[in-house]
Amino acid sequence: MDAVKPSRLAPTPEFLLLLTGNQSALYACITATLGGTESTHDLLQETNVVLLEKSGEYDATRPFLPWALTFARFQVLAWRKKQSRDRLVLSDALFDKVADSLATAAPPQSRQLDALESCYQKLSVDWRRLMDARYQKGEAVRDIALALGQTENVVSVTLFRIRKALLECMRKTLTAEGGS
Amino acid sequence: MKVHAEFERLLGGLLDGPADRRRNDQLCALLAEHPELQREYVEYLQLHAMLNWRVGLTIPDANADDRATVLPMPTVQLGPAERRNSRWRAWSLSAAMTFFAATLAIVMLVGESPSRASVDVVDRLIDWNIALTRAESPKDRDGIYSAHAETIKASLASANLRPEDRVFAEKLLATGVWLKQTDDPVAEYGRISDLADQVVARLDVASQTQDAKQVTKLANALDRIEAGVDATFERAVTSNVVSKEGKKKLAHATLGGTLRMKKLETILENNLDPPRKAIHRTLKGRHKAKKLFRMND
Repeated sequence: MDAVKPSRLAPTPEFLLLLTGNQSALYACITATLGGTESTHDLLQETNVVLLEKSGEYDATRPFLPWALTFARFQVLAWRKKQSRDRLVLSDALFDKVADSLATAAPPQSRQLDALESCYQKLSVDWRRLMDARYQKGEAVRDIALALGQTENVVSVTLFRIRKALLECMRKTLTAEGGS
Repeated sequence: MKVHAEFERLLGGLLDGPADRRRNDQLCALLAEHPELQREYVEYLQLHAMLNWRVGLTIPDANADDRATVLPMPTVQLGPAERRNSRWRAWSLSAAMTFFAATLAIVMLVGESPSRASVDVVDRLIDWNIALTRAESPKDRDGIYSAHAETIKASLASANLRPEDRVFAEKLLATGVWLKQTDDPVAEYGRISDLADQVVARLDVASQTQDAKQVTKLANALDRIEAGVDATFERAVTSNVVSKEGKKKLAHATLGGTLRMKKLETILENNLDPPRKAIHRTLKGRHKAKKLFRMND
């Protein structure tokens, strides 16, 4: 039986707006502290539940994301304690450093997503197909390599090159817009 | 230079390769030894997350087993949509304020006048459901239910519907019956949101097959169902939900609404006029409601 923890106040519509508007940022930050997306789904869900429980404690005069990230960090920490060393990408010390950096410089995610979309559309047709296969269809590098008649190494290197190009394009786009 | 090449190799393996403890240890050691690479590591991991996010979102599963569920949203395009979704949600907050004016319109729509006799039974079922969600008390809800249930059931039984329309109509009828027996604002919000999700899924199929007539029809249906979503949302968030399960359901339905609008944005991009206008109207519907309230304020 779940122990019900009543919050001081029910989540307000404004709080839900902030919560839904920051989902992608929370997702990205949790991914960075985990070192991958495999368990991000579960942890985002758990973080959402905690944030709803704590909604009455949120000070609306302060930025939402850093506040939310403190709870996400606790969720990831609890997750790390339950995992075998094999599943952890970052050491404890490095995890703390990454989490600290995210809390102090959480990215303006909606602008980054806009920039990503714009840059993605600028990719060549071949590169876009490759990224679609990897992300949209969720194909493994081995399967993509088989389909293209290339080695896994060539596909991996190309995927990394595309990501690098996307990051560079996003930096330029955001700088041109007047921020980074 | 050599260090950076090694960093890229290890990071590429992390993002695209199978789990590998040795590789992870090497990457971790490299990041500890070269702190200047840590920011780059975060950038790549966040990019990886965003690339996943733009093609399919994960939201909490409101069902009891505490597991997360990936919603099948394979072609969601982000971009300006996220900000627009926030606006959409903001518009939804005014829904309850428009209650008085909207109730009058809904009751008229559900009304059984001869001029409505030829109206699609699915449309009538939608309007009936929305009227039920907007009832001010259980007694009012009983009244709305009783006044139309038998007529609607008879119309449905004799209607000549496409198989997929019949399935949806049966769901609407079941929801109407369920609403009569329910007084749980969060569950109602979830249930009406599920109906909206189903319409968007059908809208996506109609859009992909370029069935302009069906797209327009479904967009109009969605426009009205979203009014019900708004009404139940407002009741849900003001109902002092304290249980963990209730909050999960509330978060699930709210995030689902955000995803739905993102999906609709994508469908909008893939359609030409006139269906495009119908979808656009759905996306902007809450804005109209806000204006209506101001006029009546």
